[in-house]
Amino acid sequence: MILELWMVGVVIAFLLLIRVPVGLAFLGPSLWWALADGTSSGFALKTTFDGLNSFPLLAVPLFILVGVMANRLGIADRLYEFCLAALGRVRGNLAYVNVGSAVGFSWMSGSALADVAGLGKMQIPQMVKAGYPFSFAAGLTASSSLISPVMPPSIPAVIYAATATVSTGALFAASVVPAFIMAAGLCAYIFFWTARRRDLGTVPFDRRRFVRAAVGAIGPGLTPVILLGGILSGLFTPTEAASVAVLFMLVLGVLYRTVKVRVLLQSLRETAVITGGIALILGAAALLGLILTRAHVSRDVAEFLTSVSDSPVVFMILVNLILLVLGALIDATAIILVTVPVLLPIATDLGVDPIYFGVVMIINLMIGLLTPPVGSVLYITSSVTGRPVDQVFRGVAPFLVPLVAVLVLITAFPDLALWLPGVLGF
Amino acid sequence: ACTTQNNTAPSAGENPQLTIKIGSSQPESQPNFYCGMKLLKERVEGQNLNLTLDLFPNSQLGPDAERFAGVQAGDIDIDLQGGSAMSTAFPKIGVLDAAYAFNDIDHFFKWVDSNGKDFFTEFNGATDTTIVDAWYFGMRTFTATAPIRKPEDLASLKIRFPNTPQFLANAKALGANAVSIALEELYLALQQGVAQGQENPVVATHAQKFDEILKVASLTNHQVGTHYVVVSDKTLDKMSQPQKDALFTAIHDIRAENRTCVDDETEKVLDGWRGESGRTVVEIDQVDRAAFIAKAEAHFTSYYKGADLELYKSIRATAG
Amino acid sequence: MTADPVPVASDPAAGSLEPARRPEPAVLRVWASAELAIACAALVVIFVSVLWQVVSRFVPALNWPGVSELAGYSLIALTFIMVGYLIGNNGHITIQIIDYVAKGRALVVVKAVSAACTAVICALLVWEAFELIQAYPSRRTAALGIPISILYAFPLVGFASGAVRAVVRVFYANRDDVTFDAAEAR
Ligand code: NA
Ligand code: NA
Repeated sequence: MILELWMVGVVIAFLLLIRVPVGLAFLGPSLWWALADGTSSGFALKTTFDGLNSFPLLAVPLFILVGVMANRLGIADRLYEFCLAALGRVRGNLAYVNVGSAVGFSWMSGSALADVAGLGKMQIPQMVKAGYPFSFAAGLTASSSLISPVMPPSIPAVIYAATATVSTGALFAASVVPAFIMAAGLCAYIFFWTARRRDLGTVPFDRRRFVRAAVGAIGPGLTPVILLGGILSGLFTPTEAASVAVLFMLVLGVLYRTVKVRVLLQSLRETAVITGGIALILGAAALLGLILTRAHVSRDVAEFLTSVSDSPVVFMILVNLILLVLGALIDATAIILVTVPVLLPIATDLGVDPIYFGVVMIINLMIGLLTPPVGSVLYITSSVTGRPVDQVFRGVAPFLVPLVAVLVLITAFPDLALWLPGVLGF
Repeated sequence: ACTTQNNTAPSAGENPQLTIKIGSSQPESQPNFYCGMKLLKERVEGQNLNLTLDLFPNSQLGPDAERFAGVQAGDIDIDLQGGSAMSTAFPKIGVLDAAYAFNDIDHFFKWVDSNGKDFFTEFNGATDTTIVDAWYFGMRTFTATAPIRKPEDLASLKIRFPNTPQFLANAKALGANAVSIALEELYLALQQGVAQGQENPVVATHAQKFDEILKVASLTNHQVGTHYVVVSDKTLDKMSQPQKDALFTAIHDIRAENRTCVDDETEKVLDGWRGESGRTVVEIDQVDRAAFIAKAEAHFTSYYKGADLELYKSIRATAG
Repeated sequence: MTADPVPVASDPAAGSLEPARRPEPAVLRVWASAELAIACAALVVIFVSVLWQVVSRFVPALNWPGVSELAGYSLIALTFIMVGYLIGNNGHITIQIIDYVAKGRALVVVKAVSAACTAVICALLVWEAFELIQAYPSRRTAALGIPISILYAFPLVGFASGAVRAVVRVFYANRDDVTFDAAEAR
């Protein structure tokens, strides 16, 4: 059985290499394996279909629509004008603005997919326009989007907490400091990168421009207040917030008189096309995940793990390495569902805190969103910029250094995660 | 109940080597896993009948309704299913989930043992799956931000019910102000006050940590929570008679042990709640059960029609 | 104040000599507009349904158990109905590493084999969709009671369209790819 699964992997790799669309490259060999395994005809498609039937996934098209509308209705331009007016005299201004807005947006969004689709759509072209290389702009935007699923609210955290039966609140609290450390790591990288780039223009501070820009940005600046306020005061859930955000974009568009039927229709078309490409991969990843579950691949991996060592340090190192590899190959949600029930009992036996384990796992798997062959953030970045995936990955690769450094830091110092939940009394 | 005219069916005496995949929504920490699925594996495999049981707890094989379709297709051999997920294929089974249709678990098991055979045969005809028995899951109760002693207490609270017609009918029948929230978002929604309560058996509420937020448990016990042990007929066709006998006997035997486990675990959680300062448990005798039952009966006798109404009435007639 | 559609520097490898390149036969382009229109409608349904769920918590009269189901199945419909469109317009997410190795005739062969594999996979999925429609004749969705076989028609149509598009691409393998821009989708 395992041997046949290797063959499935080889065929998928071959199909990807000859440019078969990623979703179909997963579906074909998985379908073939499922039939060989004796499942009913229709199993592969049914699993793909069911994999898409998840309420939190609805945030993906809606937040893509938010980003597309923000760009087409001139809302993103106002935010940018404000950020530039404020940070114009700092070298690497747009890069810091990129991380700052990712942190801001991360309090509203629970998934990196929605983030990079929304923010990436407006940020990458603007950075390129301002003279940044495409690879740096795309790499930074893709990397900073990982702050969203780490910072609460976080869809992977909700899934982990449910699977591990730990407190979602405690896991959320434990994720706050690591999310800020990720942002700091990216800023540090920007600092060193821009130190060598004297050509990047800075703009002298202009008081009148700043005031004008600040007034123009009041509307867009209210977005996080409305969404976060709505979520925190119990008006709507994080997924539902996505639809409220679309509505708010419409309201702003009406206020700024940029709403036109033609513009709205084109926003819908663009969103439908981007969503269609991403969602097929999400469904196909659900199929691949179920096949691995049925074959107990993760269980075998866990049995191997325990046979190697009984030191918690060695265990966490091995877990990180294995998750990085799995994260490159499989959808994060599927990995959480499949590995947590197996790895967590081992972890707790070794005295590893399940909340800390969850934070490490989520950061690790989110890095997997940036690595081929299965890296949803890579693909979305490629899709929203119209550039090939390999070009995007070349931009992302250097950013893996600060991100993995942050992962190592948090793995080495559990208190970075566990301090805040302790203070808040979870 | 299963079809045996399949000509590939093994003859008595030979036991084909089979690996049986068993799915469930329950995590490994829950009684229906450690006092259910796991026991079943030990008992059946211990008889050396060439059967291997492969356990997939914690919704690893997908959500309830999707897994049941998998049982129908033969992709999953056995599953633990609540009635409402299977009502998409056999609507009538939803009636067994009606609020206060059964007074308690004894009433439920009594009904299953005397009326279950015909009912499950009809179910089998419609779904190509066989319900062998039902395992207890716990009485569904409310956990909320305020006590619920009588139907009027429900009206002022937004309570999350699972988003299926039968559960929403239960909400109406009890006089609750039901809101729909996906299970994935429920914890956060409760934390932020999108809803002020939810209903689940005590053990499930505790396992999903909803009791971290909701400090008042009201033991309304408004619905008998059970998991039917449902087997794919495609699987049964492959099994020898001794294999089927061993499987069915083990499932029946586990029913009582599993119930004790669920009761013990429920009491353990309840005792923890009772002993905690700042937490309230509205005990069974502090709930106006008669008012709830009367309200529910009045609703369902007009809500159900035809065969569903007949079934509902026949259940209530045995309520004693 | 409208945002400029930011031009993305076009891939120099893509044939820019013939600007008005038609990627597909006219019939398929009309068909593509229909697919895109259905996908847009599904998107609107997702937006309205999710918003409806929020509003209905405050206006109980609007409470309707069907909304979240409607939104979920709309995402499914959108996903599958776009399969053919994206294959036809070179819009699917692919890994294009091979372009650095295979040039000229070799690339044409790769593209033809790729399109053929895509066609086979789509055809298999059409068969699966057909099997599913037959397998669950009486199953209905939980809240709305939509026959599940109707929902499986979306992948049936989508993958059938994808198979046709992929076959066309086998014969168009010697043409230059047009870089797809989601912002200009028609
Ligand atoms: Na977030
Ligand atoms: Na990856």
